[in-house]
Amino acid sequence: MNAASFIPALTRGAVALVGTLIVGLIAVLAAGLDPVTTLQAIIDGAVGTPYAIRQSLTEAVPVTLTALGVAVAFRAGLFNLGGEGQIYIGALGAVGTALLFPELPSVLLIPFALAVGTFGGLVWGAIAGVLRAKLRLSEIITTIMLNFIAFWIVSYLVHGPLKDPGGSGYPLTREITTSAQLPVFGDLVPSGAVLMLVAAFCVWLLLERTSTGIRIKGSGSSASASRFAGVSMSRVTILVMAVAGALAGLGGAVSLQGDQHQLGDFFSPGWGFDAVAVALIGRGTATGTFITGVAVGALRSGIQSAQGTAEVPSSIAQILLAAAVLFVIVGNAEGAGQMVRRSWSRTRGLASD
Amino acid sequence: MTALVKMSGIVKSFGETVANDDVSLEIAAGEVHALLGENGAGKTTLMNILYGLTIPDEGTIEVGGVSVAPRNPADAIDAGIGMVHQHPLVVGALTVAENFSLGGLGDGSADSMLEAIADVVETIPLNVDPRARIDSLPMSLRQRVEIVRCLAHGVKVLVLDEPTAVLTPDEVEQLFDEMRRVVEQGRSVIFITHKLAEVQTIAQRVTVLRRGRKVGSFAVGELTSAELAEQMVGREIAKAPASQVAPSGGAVRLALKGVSALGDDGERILDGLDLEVRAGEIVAIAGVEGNGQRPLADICFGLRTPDAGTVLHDDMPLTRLKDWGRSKVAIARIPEDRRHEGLLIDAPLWENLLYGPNLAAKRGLINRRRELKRSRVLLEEFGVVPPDPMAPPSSLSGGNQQKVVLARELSSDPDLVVAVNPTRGLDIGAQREVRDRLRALRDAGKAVLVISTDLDEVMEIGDRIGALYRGRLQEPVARATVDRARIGEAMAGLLDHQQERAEA
Amino acid sequence: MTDIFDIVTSATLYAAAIRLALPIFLAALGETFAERSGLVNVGLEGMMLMGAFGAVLGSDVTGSALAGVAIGLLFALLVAAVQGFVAINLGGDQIVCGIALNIGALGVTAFLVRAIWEGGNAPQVPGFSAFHFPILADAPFLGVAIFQQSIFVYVAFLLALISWWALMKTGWGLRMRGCGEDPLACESLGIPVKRLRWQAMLICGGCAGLGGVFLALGELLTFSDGMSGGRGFIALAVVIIARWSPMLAIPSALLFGAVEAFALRVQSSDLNVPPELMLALPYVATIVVYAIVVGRSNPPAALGRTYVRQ
Repeated sequence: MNAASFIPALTRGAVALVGTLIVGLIAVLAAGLDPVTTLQAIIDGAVGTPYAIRQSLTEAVPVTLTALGVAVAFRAGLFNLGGEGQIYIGALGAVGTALLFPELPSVLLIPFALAVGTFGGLVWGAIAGVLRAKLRLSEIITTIMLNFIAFWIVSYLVHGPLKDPGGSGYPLTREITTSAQLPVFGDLVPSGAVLMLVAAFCVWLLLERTSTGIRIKGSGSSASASRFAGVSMSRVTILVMAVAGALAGLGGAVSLQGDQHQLGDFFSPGWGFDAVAVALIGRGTATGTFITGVAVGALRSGIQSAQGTAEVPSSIAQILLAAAVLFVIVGNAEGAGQMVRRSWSRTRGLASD
Repeated sequence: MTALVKMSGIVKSFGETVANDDVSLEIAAGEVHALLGENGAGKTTLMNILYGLTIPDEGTIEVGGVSVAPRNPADAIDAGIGMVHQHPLVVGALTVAENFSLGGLGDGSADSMLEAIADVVETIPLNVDPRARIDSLPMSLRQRVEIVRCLAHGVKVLVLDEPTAVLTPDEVEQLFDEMRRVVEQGRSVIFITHKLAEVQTIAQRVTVLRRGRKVGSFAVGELTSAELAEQMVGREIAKAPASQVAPSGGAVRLALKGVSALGDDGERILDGLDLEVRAGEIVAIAGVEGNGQRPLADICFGLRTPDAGTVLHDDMPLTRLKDWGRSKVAIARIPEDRRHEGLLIDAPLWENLLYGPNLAAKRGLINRRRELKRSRVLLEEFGVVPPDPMAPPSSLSGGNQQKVVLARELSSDPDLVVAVNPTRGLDIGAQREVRDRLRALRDAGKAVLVISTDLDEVMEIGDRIGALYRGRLQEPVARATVDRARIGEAMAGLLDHQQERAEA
Repeated sequence: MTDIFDIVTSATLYAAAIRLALPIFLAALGETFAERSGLVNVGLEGMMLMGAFGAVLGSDVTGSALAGVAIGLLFALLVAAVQGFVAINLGGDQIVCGIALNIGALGVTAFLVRAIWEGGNAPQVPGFSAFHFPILADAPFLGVAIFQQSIFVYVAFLLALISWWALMKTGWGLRMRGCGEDPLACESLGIPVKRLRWQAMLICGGCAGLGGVFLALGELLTFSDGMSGGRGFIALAVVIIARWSPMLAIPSALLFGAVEAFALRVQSSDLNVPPELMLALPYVATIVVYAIVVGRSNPPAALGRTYVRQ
């Protein structure tokens, strides 16, 4: 019996939110900070000024795009832990393209670079998908391995062949030309954010309004029923891992072209893993993932700003994410419902055992 | 009569369902007591409570006059209660001796096991290699292991949950003899069943459960079969309609010739099968579970290619599902396990109704409103209650779930129906409905193949009846020409041996 | 000019291989127990990390490496307790929980490091030095390779032996294996599935924590963010490669240790190979060996399946 039938969804969501806030409170107090000013600083940093909003959106884009990919894979029963690596490969594809063809007009170069980045991520994800589909290798293990491999490939390139000769010795590529850079609308909305919204809608469409979506969800729900229905698990596996990789690759490309403009060792502050938490909190739905992703982007951005004013450590974001995921799991756990039911009836004096 | 076991006022609910509603039960020493009821009446739940696998919400248990409250099977065994389940609870990957060791008998070595069970095997012989893995043994042997294990613990009460499902008619006889001997030794046996005939054969007393309530306890012989049946279902059951005259040959819809299939070890799990199913008839194949039903079904479902022989559907080779592609599939497939194979148990019904080989044909975007409407119509047509397209199958009863499967499969009006154990686990009303529908399909000129481990069902529904034993099919013959005993022999492979002896 | 041959035949390479393999082996040993009992513990990485952190904290505060071991174990066991509670008592999603705990461990350790030490960096701490076996340490080749290792190595080997004996030769081990194959059947025999799984989970946390402790106190003598470096996940592959056997985990982990040691040697030699690509080698090796082995793998039947008694 699932907790769902006893504890209605709204209560579970509320408990998860409150629980996470409490954990955050504890962390803030443990860091020796005043909760109220800290919260104020974070909120200001997240949405206080137009610049802050723009930063929040910028931060949200790679996480949310990757999370949408994780969500699609999750619905098929697979865990894409390879967001980090796929982001790096995506960024690599974009920066490579931008540096190779700087003379192309923006209207061609921008989408071209984005596409190459997306494709790179797609391939990186598909590798894990094929390994799982054809060789039955757990994607949990292979995607993590591919993360490190991608990281070291990029590291090698930015320390060597792609290193910026005039860049004062840091392991970074040259900056991409403005012709490859993504515009910001009205100085407020980065185009990446628009892409993020479009991607979320497309994922929703895929999962809820196509036969492929039904097959994805069915595969994740029951392997035996899917086998019986003639759904090719191996095709679904490769498809969702490719999609997940593509979205993460797009996230990397967007961050490169929209914000960072160059590729280095520390390109991603762990977006790939945040994305996993975001997708899990959003229960793998497009809307849930999107909302959570934007919220996490704002949170991270707010904390980053608050670091200057109130010395808020950035690791709080990770702690909050982990706590939120744990609360969500507990709320959905089979045995949790039993426990609550038993203690509930005990307080009302009904149980006999 | 002093009761050996006394259960009083047992109440147990699972969520909204009340499985046991104030049930009381008394078992005397030295008797075989049948616990009779339809599927879903609460028999297994009641015994699981006795055995400590489930904890009741209310109620008390006494064994030998002493109050007990088993919180787990170890407590129950200490109290003298043993239970053998429908699917024997033995660990497949471990050896027989290791399984006994898990049960506290011996240390996993062959010698210690034989020593521990020496007394019991005088009553219940167990011919098995202690070092064999459980999952290499047929179900009947696994059940035997479980029985011996319980008795070796010295239990005073042995509960058997529908033990005959995995046995041939001869093995059933043997089991009944052994139960009589067990009872002569002063122990009691509780026999869970939904089959009236078994009650009459083996039990001294019977308690009838219906929809979670106890209807009554009687001495066997106190009531006639008809009266017992009525107690069980609460209304008069009309006799099944007499079968039509054996139909003349319609077009052959499904033809298997020389079909063989190999198992994991390379041994033949299907051996040279010949089978024809024609339009306007029901071919029913009997057999004890594990004699080739699964590979045969998989081949007819398009989930498996035979290792030898040909399979033709309407004179076209029946290939694997993956290759069906966008062509419309004209076979209705009703799998054995509706919860895990037939349905996506947590997905909304409207998605379930689309989840089949024809899903690939739905290109582009799905118009949800249209699908919801279509689903509702389909659900109502097939009598699914409630016909809510957004609800998941998990919210429906077993009978309704099966109707959803039928709705999905039959909506494209196929000319061939292949069904495996179509009424397993359903209450009598739902069983009747499903069988009626199969008969209606036959009358409408469809070809129907039913593979069932329930001999009663096969006898009731088949126009032609065959038997599966060790992968070999006894040629299906018209029902009028066979009787139950002969089919039973075929199921046990005796006809095979007679043939072999004749040929020798 | 050193070349490949020199590298491969140097005793120090194998000594390094053993050192580098140790944390992976310990984590894999613990995970073997967990998976044999039917639990999937993806949070190995987090347990190692917490173990490493606790070891550095304990060693720094008390000046004793032994205290570091104790604190490291404690921290790792805390993580294992959460995973155990969610997986065993609540029947929650085991894999998601493990992932969450990994993220949480990263965050908590980073947080505590900033909070406890000035400048946000963990200091160098007293650790364990190499232990020289009385006579054997002077043996040619093997002396350097095997008999001059940290005490952890010898302890780990003993643990492997004890684990194999416990799992395969005792009633307790049989019952644990039964839980991993068919918990319902075991429950019906009166075997306390929950209790056994808890034992397995705590053993897992302890072993993984010990691996993290060694990472910190036996190798680097400090803590840095994310220092477990994916070893927890490599350990997951090692368990599969080792066919869920404690003894086979030794050569399996050694394989990865050797690859890593080789990569490091090549990196620091004057061979003209890009260092970063060498560092990627262990991860590539993991995938390759995993791919070779998986076809014949036979996991415990109930591995990862939620089991909650009604």
